[in-house]
Amino acid sequence: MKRVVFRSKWLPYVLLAPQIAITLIFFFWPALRAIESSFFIEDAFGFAREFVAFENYARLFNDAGYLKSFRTTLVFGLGVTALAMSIALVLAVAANRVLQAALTYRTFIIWPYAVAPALAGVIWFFLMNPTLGIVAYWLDLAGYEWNHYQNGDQALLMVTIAAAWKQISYNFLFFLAGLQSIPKSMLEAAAIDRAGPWRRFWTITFPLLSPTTFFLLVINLVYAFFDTFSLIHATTQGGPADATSILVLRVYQTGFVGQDYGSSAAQSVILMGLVIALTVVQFRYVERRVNY
Amino acid sequence: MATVDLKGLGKTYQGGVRAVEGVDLTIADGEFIVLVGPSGCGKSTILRMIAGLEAVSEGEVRIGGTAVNRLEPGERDIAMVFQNYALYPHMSVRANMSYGLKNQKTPKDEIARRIAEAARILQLGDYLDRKPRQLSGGQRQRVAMGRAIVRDPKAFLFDEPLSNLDAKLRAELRAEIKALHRRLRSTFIYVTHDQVEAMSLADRIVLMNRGRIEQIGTPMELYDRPASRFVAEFIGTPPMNLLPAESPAARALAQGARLPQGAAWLGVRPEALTLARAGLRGQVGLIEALGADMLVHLVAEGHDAPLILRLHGTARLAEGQEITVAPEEGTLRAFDGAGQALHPTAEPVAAGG
Repeated sequence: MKRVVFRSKWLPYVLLAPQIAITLIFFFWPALRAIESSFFIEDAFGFAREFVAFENYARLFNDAGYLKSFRTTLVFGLGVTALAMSIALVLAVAANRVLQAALTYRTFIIWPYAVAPALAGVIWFFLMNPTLGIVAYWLDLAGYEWNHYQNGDQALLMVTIAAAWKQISYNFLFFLAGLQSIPKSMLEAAAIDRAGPWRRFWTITFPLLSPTTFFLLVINLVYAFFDTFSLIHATTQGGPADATSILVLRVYQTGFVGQDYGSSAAQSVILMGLVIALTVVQFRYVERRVNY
Repeated sequence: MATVDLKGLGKTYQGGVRAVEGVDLTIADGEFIVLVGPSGCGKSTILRMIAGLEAVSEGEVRIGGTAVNRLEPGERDIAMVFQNYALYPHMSVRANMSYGLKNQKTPKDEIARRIAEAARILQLGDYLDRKPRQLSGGQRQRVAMGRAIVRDPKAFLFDEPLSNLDAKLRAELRAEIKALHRRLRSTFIYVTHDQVEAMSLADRIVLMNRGRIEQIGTPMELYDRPASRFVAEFIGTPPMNLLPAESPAARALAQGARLPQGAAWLGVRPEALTLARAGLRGQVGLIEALGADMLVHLVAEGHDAPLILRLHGTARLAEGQEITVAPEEGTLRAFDGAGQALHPTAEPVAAGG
C-alpha cells in the first residue's frame, strides 16, 4: 500500500469528513435515538413522554409473546441457516465436479439471488397455497394436509424454506470458490492415503472450508434475523397466531402498528446488541482461522 | 517393495490430445528410475497413471505382477510425494504422517513406532507437533517423504519434488533422497525436468520426448551413447556440440576418418575436445571461467555457431587466440538425418559412432 503523507494537518480530516458524516448521521444518530427512546414511554401522538429507565426492557422480558418471538427467531434463523448452507454445500460439491458447461450451470444456480425477498416469499406462498398451490396439492396426494393459514408450524416451515431458497445461491458461490481454492494435489494425496471419497470430504475438504463455512454461518444468521422482514411481511405477516413473528417483524408491529415507540425502540436496541455480538465474533474468529 | 511394469501404456485426453504413447518399461524391485524430459513430454502423466490419479487410456500398469488399471489409488499400495508437498495444512506433522495409517486401521502403537522411525531417519523429531505452515520448504518436503515412508509402500512415486526449492536446498535434499533409497532399497520412480537430478539420482534414466520413450539406460549410457540427437542435446550441460557431417569443420574434426553410412550430424562432448597439433582450427571467443573448469567458445572455420570446449580451469587461453582442437579417440558420435544415432562401422576408425 502506498503511504501518503499530508503536509497540512486538517486536509486528511476534510477528506474523511463525508464518510464520517454519513456514518454519524445515518448510523450513529438513529442508533443513539433508539437507545434514548427505549428509556421513555411515549404517547401515540408524540405529544408527551415519560422517562421510565429500564421499564420497557423489563416489560419485554416478562412478556410471554416477546419471549416466544425470541424462540421463533432462533428456530427460524437456525433452520434457514442449516437448510441454506447444507443444500448450497451439496450443490457446490456437485458443481465442483462438473467439467463441461460449468459456467452455464453456475449462472443458472445464481438466479434466485436476484429475486427480491418479498417476491421469493410470494412465489413459495403460491406454490404452497392450500387451495391453489402445486406443492400443497402434491402433499394432499401423499395424504398430508397442508394449511399454513391455520397451522403455525407449517407457516414457519414455509417461510423458512422460502428464506433458505433465496440464500442458497449466495452460499453456493462462496462454497464453490472455497472448494476451488483447495489444491487438487491435497485430495490426491488423501486418495493415495487410502481415504475414500466420503472420508476425504470430512477430513480434508470440510476442515479446509471452515473459514468459508464460518463466514457464511454469521452472514446467514444475520440474513435470517434481519433481512427476511419483507419476505414474512409479504406472506404470513407474522401469523397465524404469531407463529412466524420474528423479532424484526415485532419491532415493526409494535412501533408502526401498535404505536408503542418505547417498546419498539427497546426491541431495536436488543437486536442491535445481537448483530454487534455476531459481527464481533465473526471478525475475531475469522481473522484467527482464515490462514492456517 | 515390488516391480512395476508398464505395457503399451498410452494416454489420450478429451479432445484427442495424445499425452503418452506406447510406453513399455520394466522397473525392477528396488530400482531407482528417473523419468526425465522437457515439460509436456508425458512424464508426469505416466507417474499419475501408475498412481491411479489418471485413468489409463490403453495398455496396462502392473505393480508387483498384478494389473492395477482398475484399482483406486488407495488400493495400489504406493506412496507419492508432490511438487507442492500437498501436506494437510490443518493437521500437525504427526497427524499428516499418521493419516494414511489410520485409514488402513493400523494399531496405535504401530503407528507411533513407524512415525518415530521416520522422524529419526528424516530428522523431523523436533517438528512433529508443528503445523506445515510453521515449516520451511525443505522441512515440508521431508514431512511429505515421511508420510510416504511410514506407509511402507510397494513403490515410492516422486513428482518433481525439488522444483519448488532453491538450488542449495535442492542439492541437499537430492543427496537425502539418494540416501533414503539406499536405506529402504524400495522401488523409486522419480519425475523431473532437471537432467542434473536425473543423472545424480537414477539407476536408470527414462528420457521422454513428446509422449514417447526416447532412450532408457544408466546415466552414463545416455551420456556416452545417446540414442538420438534429442538425447545428446538434453543430457549434459553444456550439451553435446553438433555439426553438419558435411561441413568443413566436421571434416576437420574427423580428420579424414570414415563416418558411418548416412551420417548427417557429427557430435562431440565439450570435454572430449582437447588442444592438439592437427584438427580443427579456430579462434577463442568467449571464455567462461567456472573455477574447476572453463567453458571456451571456439569460433571455428566453416561453422557458424561456436563450439563449446570444457578445459581445465588452469588452462592458459586468451580471447582472440588461434587454437587447434581434436576429439579424444572414440568420442565422436554420428547421427542420421532423422536424428537417430548411427553405430560405428566394423572398421576401427577414429570416428566412433
